[in-house]
Amino acid sequence: MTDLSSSRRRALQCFAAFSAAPVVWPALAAEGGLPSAAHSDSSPQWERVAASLFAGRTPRAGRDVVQLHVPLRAAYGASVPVKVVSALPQTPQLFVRRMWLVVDKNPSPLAAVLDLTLEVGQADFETRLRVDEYSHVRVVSELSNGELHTDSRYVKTSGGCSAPPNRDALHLIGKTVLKLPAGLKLDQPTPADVTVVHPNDTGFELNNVTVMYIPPHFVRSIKISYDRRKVFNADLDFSVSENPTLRFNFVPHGPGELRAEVTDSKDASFVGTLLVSGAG
Amino acid sequence: MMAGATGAHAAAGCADDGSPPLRRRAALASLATAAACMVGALGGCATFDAWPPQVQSVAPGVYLLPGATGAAEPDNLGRIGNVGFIVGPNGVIVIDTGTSYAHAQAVLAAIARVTDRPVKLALVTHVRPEFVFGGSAFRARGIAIRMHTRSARLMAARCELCLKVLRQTLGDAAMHDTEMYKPDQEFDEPSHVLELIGRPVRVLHFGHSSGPGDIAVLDEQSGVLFAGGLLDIGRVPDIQDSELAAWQHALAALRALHARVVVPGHGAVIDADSGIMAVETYLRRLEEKVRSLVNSGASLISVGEAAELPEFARWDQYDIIHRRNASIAFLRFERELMFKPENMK
Repeated sequence: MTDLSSSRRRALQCFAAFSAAPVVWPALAAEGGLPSAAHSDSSPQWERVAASLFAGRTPRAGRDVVQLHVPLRAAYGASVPVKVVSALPQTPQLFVRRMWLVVDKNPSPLAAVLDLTLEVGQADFETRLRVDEYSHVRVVSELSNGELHTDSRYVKTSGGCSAPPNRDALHLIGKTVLKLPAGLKLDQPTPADVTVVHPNDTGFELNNVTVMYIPPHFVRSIKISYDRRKVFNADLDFSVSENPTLRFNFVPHGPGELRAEVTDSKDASFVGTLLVSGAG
Repeated sequence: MMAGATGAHAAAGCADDGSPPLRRRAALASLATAAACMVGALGGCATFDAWPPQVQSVAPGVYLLPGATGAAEPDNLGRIGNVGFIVGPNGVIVIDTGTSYAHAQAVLAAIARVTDRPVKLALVTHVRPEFVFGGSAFRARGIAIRMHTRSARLMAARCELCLKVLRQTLGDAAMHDTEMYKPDQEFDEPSHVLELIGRPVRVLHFGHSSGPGDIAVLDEQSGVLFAGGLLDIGRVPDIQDSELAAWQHALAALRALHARVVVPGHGAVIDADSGIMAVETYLRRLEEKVRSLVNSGASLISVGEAAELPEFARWDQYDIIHRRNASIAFLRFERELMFKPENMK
């Protein structure tokens, strides 16, 4: 009995000690991909990124121009699907000319920079990002009139321990596949997927067989054209998940070749093409 | 509450190796426990009111310190994994080390209340924080830690980060003196018997199944099987480190052992058949559900909602682990499709 009561006492001391410890996770914003209040969702990392990218201009937070969607509740940190939705279509009068995707807490927060044209039709994108820690994920859109708009979500990943990186099919690195998941829509924004088979290694992970660091090796850029006209260019970083994938739109006015030109951090180049016939 | 009920036949100071009638009684009691917990698991059988939980007797000389339900959080000190121990004439083998230095100290103190025989060895069944990080306290006492080579490598590759995250979650006080370590003993062989404590303890490895180096531990004398990462009961099994097909094969191999009862990695003691079937069913349903989503062209962003399996919704951590499992399975099956020959032209 004395044993038990003394161990209870120890347990209570332990709890007391914990409650005196500093709180590690500040409740910065809504969790799990819920909307975060515009004025309370900053982070030191974001301040730094914003200062270097926008040189004094402050992107306007709100959901009327650009929206970021992430899954509700817990996500799998190695591959968090994110979707950017633009309110307006791409028109010569006003269009999205650049987009940035940022993961505040990642070692390299800037995950992607997209350089867009009118050929996109509708500036919606989906991709998958690594989110190592609980972090804000953000999109910033720059319109052709120079306005900057931003939206963010607080992503709460679960697990803590990452899964061992997948190391199969290394011989297929660079294989680039294009698909039209919803078929062809002539003269309208047509969704397309580009996926590059690539480990997209960050350089921060240890191989769980050799216990050696896996050197960084990731896709740096994907350039998409249709019928030899530029649709968009994407500069990417290792915050993009293994087997980088982008869902985008393009506007086909007739038959043509959808083409993806890919380069990686070892200066390897890869090309994927899809012949699109007018018949749909 | 339920832990209190199972604690009714708890065995602080109970005999190490009982006579046959006593053994039978203990076995019956543990089956009753199992039955109670099969119902209770749905309502949170393993919850306990205060740490430490009482030592549960699973069979003569075989004991369990049950982990709390839920995710690792300050309220439960992260002590969510089961810790078992087997007492033989010459000493004690501990199965899994707990979450932290302090947890392992509490485990060693609890063992000392049951027996004065020396703790000879701690086996780590799989590489999850709540099974691994108590190791530093064992090593400080000169007790060797033994794990599969693949587990040792996985631990070396990622546990620095796991420990950092756990420290952030639980706080420095709960995690004091808890450190990364290398196991003292590694092994590669699939299955072997340890004779260290004068009572044969069989270590079973089925290849990369629920995890790369996951093992089960069978006390041959009592027929109690410690299933480690291969079985979670009343809690959604985590597929993150697994090879799904090999896991199913390993479960079939476990069934063929005809163990009397199973102590899972998480959750309550259960009879072997029911426990194995529950996990087999979950893994099969998960795979069916997610394959159909991949084949229908669903988007990863919708998978959490689309992969609901209501029949498992009452299992602990359904909201977290099942959703993550669904995402992980989705990515794997999608990759399989991507690498199919007809898609690689």
